[in-house]
Amino acid sequence: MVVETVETVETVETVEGGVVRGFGELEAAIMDVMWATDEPLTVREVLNRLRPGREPAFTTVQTVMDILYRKGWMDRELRGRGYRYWAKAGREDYVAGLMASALRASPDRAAALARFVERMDQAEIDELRGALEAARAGEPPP
Amino acid sequence: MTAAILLAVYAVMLAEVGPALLRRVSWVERAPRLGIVAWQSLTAAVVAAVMMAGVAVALPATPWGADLAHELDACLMMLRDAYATPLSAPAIAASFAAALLTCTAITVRMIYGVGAEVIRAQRERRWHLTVLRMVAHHDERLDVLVIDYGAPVAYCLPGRAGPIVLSTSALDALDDRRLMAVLAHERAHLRSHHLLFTAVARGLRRAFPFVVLFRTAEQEIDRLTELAADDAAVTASDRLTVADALLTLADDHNAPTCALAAGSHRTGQRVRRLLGRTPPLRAIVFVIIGVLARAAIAAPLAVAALPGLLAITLGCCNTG
Repeated sequence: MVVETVETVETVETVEGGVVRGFGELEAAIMDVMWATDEPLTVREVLNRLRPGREPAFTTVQTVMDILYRKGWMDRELRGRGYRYWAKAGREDYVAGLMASALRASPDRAAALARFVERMDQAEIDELRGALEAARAGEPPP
Repeated sequence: MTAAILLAVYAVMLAEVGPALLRRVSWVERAPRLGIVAWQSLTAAVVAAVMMAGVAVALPATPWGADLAHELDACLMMLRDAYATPLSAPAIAASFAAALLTCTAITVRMIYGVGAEVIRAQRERRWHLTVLRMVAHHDERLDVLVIDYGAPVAYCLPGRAGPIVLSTSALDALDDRRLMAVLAHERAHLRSHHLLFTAVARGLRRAFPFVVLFRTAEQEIDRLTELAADDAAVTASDRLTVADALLTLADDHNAPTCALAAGSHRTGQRVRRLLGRTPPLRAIVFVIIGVLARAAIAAPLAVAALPGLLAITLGCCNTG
């Protein structure tokens, strides 16, 4: 069920490097923990994997994980005395979703976004690279 | 009724002739921001003419224009007479009803179309932000959100605060100078509310897909906002650096070739425009186009108001 990745470990460190403020950031930090592992985790295990030394209260983590479950980010199962949680989809699934919406082609793009460039044909890129070099040679660097 | 007919003719004429004319002129490339204003004015003028035609029909036909006027106020009666045409009563009533219905339907469709599009864009933005909050991390130095992604991607979400989103692959591909050019481009979009412009234009096109003006205006505003943002990036760096940044981010080796976007020629056009030296527009041309754009919108308002103004200036409306 859980889709997992190796790259996410790096991102976990980035988030842990910052200060965890408010529910929003705690949500993100918890999801990072979930994405960095293959196995279902208890609240206690998640708490232990959050940034050492500055971890929030157990009940806070419990509340936020319940919120994430209700929002559809995680699934859970009652095992023994408590729930075990796991991410419903991998980080890259969400990224792929974002990109699908961001890369949707003009002119009928979903358009809530302004992309820097549309993709180009390789031959045209090479041709224009040549023209750029010629222009560079033609004028002194600014 | 004369005013209404005049306005209808004006609207049709602008909608037919305007797009072809404005598409052919070359100064929009040299002054994209002015081009955006021109397209918006053309659209607004047509919209205003249709709405004012409705007002011109409705004013004498409404109860307070017809019946009440007799009882209450000679002024309103004068207003009614000024707008009305000497025809037989049933014929007038029928044409009024038809004209009024048409104008109201168009106006409602327009407001609904634009409103729906703006709401859709907002909903998509909210969803996008929710997911970004989980999967992206904030780069403090650049004030952008960074996502782990194999293709070079740079974009911004609407709203003054953005955010601007870059993929790790884009960050790797760009050196500092080109990165600054990309950021200046995206910040220009945010600062100038370009995404709102394109959303409104798209809403109009969706509401009336058969109207050539709205279709062309959407495409052109879309294209010109990119050129305007490119110009802002040039101010922040230089022409060749912006061209370089465009080529760098368009160069996506991982992309399947079949997924080439329909607008892929546009990036090429943008790069060619940056490579060639375009002389800035002369100040006098700026002024003339600015005046024309405002006149196009003012004209329908004036035509609609004229009979009323005439009645007032003729001195028949001394209610005081």
